[in-house]
Amino acid sequence: MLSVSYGKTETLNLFSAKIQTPKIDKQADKILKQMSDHLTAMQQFSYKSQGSYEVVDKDKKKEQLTYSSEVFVKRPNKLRVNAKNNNRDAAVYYDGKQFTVLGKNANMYAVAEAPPTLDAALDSARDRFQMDPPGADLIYSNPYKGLMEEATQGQLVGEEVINGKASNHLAFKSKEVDWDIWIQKGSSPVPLRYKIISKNIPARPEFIVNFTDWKQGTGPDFADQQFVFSPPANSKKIPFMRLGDAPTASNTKKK
Amino acid sequence: MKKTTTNRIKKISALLATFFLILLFSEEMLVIAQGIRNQQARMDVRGTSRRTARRVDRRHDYMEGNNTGYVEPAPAAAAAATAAVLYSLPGNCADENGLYNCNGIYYEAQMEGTTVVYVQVQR
Repeated sequence: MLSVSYGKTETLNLFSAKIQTPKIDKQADKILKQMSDHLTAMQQFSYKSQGSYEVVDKDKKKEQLTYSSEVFVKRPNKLRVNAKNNNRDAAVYYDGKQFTVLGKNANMYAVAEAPPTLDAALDSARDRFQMDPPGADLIYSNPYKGLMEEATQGQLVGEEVINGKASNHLAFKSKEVDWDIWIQKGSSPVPLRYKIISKNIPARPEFIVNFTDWKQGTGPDFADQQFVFSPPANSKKIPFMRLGDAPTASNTKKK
Repeated sequence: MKKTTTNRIKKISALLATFFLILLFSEEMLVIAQGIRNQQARMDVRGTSRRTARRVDRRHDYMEGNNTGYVEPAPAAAAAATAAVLYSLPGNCADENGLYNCNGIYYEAQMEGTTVVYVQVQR
């Protein structure tokens, strides 16, 4: 068997260095690409989402939590989200310069500098502040690219009706998650449902979101000023909890 | 006889040249293969599946704002074993310049994702 040595440590067998080619059904790929192109072309849009996610406790028991949200996107650098669950009512603003999250019940808000594009801002929000707008994978400038990066298998499962609308059900697999997406049939191929199963976590928790009310954005809801945060009366500014920060006096104590 | 020897040398030279060309091609292919592998490794860092997996991981790890007084170890701070995060403060806490004094235990309000939490701090 032929092998080539690179220095003392690295030896790579030419015949075992086989690169795995994703097995993506052409039709599934085409439908996903159509959805992505459609979303990319929508420069201003809004949608509503109702989702649920499962939380696994230490005994590997799952609890399902639900939320609803309303998302407004203005490419390339504006986003506004209103999110609610049983106990939380929050708003997120991104105006191309800053992120702001307002906790409406507590009337407290946190502000941070943000990158100049929505794509970078979404990454930054997720990595730094654990912020995740519902269906965020789908509002990047090129959803297809991100969705397919780690896909190893993909297929068209068939046609299904979601909330009264005919859709194509696609199923994909990757190393860490399996995900399904239901895309509306016809001239407006928007996502209607998105499901992710985290298969490497005990109990395989599931995240599922239904999208409704997709609208091309026009009118006052999409005025630039609507994406700029204005502190409510008597609101209090607080810091973000950063991933990796230890909540000790050194970084959380007020001066 | 001399002509036969010359022909043999030519054949051997041709075989050797072919062998080295194949070897060179193999190395080129190896470099290309490694390049693709490295590219895939970079993609892993920001792949959507990775991102979504991280999201589910976090939801797996942390409660999200039950606001029922649930107490848990601070999720972002394994090192701070004694610190705690509350989703609501107990009664009788006094606001002292932004820190909440709850019977001698101090908390600071912080935004965890889109949830206001109260993180135990040392004064």
